[in-house]
Amino acid sequence: MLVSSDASNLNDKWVVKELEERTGVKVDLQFYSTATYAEKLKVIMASGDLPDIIHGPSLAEINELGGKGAFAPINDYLDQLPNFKAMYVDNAENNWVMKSYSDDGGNIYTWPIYGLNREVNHGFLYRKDIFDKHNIPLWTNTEEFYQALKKLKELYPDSIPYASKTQAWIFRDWGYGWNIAGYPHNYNEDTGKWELAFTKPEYKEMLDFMKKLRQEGLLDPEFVTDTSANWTAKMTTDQSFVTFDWIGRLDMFYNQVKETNPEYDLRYGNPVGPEFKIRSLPMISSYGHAIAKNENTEVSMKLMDYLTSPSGAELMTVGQQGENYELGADGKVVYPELKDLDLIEIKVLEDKYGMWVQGFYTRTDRRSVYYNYTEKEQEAQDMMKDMKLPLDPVLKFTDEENSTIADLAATLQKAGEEFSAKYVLTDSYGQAEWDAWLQQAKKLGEDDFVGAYNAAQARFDAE
Amino acid sequence: MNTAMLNPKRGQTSKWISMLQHIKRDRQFLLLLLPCIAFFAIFRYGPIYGLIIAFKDFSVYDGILGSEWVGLEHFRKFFNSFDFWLLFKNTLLLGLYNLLWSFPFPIVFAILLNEVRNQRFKKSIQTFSYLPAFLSIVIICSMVIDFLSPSRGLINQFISFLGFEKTYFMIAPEWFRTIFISSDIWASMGYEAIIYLAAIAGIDPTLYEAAKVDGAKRWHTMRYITVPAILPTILVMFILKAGSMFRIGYEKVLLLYNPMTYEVADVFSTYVYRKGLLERDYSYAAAVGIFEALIALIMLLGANVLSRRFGGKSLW
Repeated sequence: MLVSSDASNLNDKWVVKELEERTGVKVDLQFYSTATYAEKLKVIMASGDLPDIIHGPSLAEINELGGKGAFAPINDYLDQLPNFKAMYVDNAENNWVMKSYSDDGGNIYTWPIYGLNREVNHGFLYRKDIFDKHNIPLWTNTEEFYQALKKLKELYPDSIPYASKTQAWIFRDWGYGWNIAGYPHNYNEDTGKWELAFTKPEYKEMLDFMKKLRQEGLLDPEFVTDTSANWTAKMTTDQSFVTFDWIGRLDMFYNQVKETNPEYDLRYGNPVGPEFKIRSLPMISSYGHAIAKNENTEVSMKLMDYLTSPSGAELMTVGQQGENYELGADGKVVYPELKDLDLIEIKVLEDKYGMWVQGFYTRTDRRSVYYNYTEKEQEAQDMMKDMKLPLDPVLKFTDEENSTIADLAATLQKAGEEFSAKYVLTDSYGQAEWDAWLQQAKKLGEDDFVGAYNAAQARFDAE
Repeated sequence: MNTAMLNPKRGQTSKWISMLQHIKRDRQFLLLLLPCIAFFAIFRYGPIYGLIIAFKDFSVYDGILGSEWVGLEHFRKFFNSFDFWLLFKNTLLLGLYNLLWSFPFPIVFAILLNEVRNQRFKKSIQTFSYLPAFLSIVIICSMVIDFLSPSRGLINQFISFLGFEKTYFMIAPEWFRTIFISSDIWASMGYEAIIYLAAIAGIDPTLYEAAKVDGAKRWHTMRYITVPAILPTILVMFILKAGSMFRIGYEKVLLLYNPMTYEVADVFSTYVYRKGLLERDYSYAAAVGIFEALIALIMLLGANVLSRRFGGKSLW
């Protein structure tokens, strides 16, 4: 089994031994560091000598190679896979997986992961201490967001209230609030059609809003180049007060500055944009798990099926009660052997027990420390409960559609980001440039690109 | 009369014998050469066979030999693509400017350093100058971005201290090439100067002494002794540099460019990176790579011919 991990002696860890005891399967983990895993995987795949279970390739790659006989179709083994069947075939909520992840011939080669995502992750973050100090309320719509930034600029003339370090991703991150659930392709719930995000009228509204912020000195023009270090400095020294980032940053920044500024309080904010929504994260995702077709296929399938059971999920992400964890008075998981540590995160569990090894689990247990939210994170989870955009359908494409998309996606995305950055940062850009961009997008193949999605959607709807 | 000429066959055998004698005589040297030959065979010539995927529709599972032949299709697609001329222009300009600017700097630096009489000062300058060569490209690029930042960068603070308007260099397409090349000079000047300093150290000191006796000033010794003496080294370095002119590393461009500067920064190698690694179009990327290598070869041959014609020196 091919996994990625930075831990050493992975095959001697408790989880591997326990797994062997429970299933009778002796697992031999071939592991590579997370930094080089993708490269190693390519080399291993090109060698033609596949390990029994791998993870990493994209769905399109897996289906292509599966069709050529490299991987075993999971559907052929369904009667031996009670957990897979219960989760992804018999369960009406999840059985889209069989439809979306399978290839043209109806064979499914990829083994999904269940329940990995936390519910709320990236979002707008703001300095609550500063907002409170000046009686600026947390915005509840785009106009209030604008007014809050303006007020901050008045109070701190040398500051630029909104800072960003995600470069061109800012257009995707903000897009959710303008009902654009990802780019370059976006599913329109109203029409049931796919479209290019970069040419939607809503997208232009968003760019116009960003441009206004930039021109008034409210949005840091360095949003296209800012490095992490620079951005951190701004966010922790009263040069900027609002940003968009990962939820874990709330505590990370606080821990960095609490010595000098104990008042520092970064909190999760509301969305921005007319839709007032954030991205939803799927319960089921593909990590590109696939099982090689060889003499071990049946054993590999059964092993993966065990990992997908509740007890497999517990073993791989929490452990075993009495063996290495106890339940504390508050019902939370406690590790007696690790009681000296301030913070038990998943890397610690990986080093100590071999849990949470990337590629080694296919279902998570919600009691795991990974889902222990800090106070600030919990607040965000509660705030955002009903503010998530619906998920886009997961489509399956023919080989031809796949190659059209592969040919055009990167080109369109690059051109779209280039135009967006110029539109926001160049004063002279306006309606004429927008119209020219619509023409250019057509020339770059917008219709073919969107067409591939819509053809797949039509088949999906018909099924 | 030589008997070998009367009997050509015998002459050949004696040639063979003398070659064998040579091999026997130099066997230790040849043994030392072996690892080098093996290295080139395995790591330099071996992978060339992989280039045939540029003429095939490569699929990982079918392997290099098993994939289907498509002839020159990938090349045709590339020459007709939207990006071709832009990439060509950017690669050419960036390479040309790089050759023009970053080539002479180490030479001038080495010659000037040679004139410094205070040994301690000279050594410390030299050490400082090649320190950046040991930094990774990622660090160099983040330093460049941070230095040039309009809000916190040193350079912009200096500019505003002098009373000028701050400039946001990183998003200005007209600044991209200057930034790319000057950061290159900064990072590699000291390291490259080592070769020239070594060449200068090899000049016979009596030449300088004789010139001084004849009344030559520093400028004269520099011009008539130092420069001509290191000219062969300069020419060889020039040929090598011309050959790699088109090989602009994608890492540095990727780290320094952004949506505002794509139009001047996108070069063949970044295109190969996007196509090959991000879109997994290996065959297409290989075709672009071959094209890039062919141009590099032409440049190398061209520079060699030029150098032979004008300097009388060449690599072969």
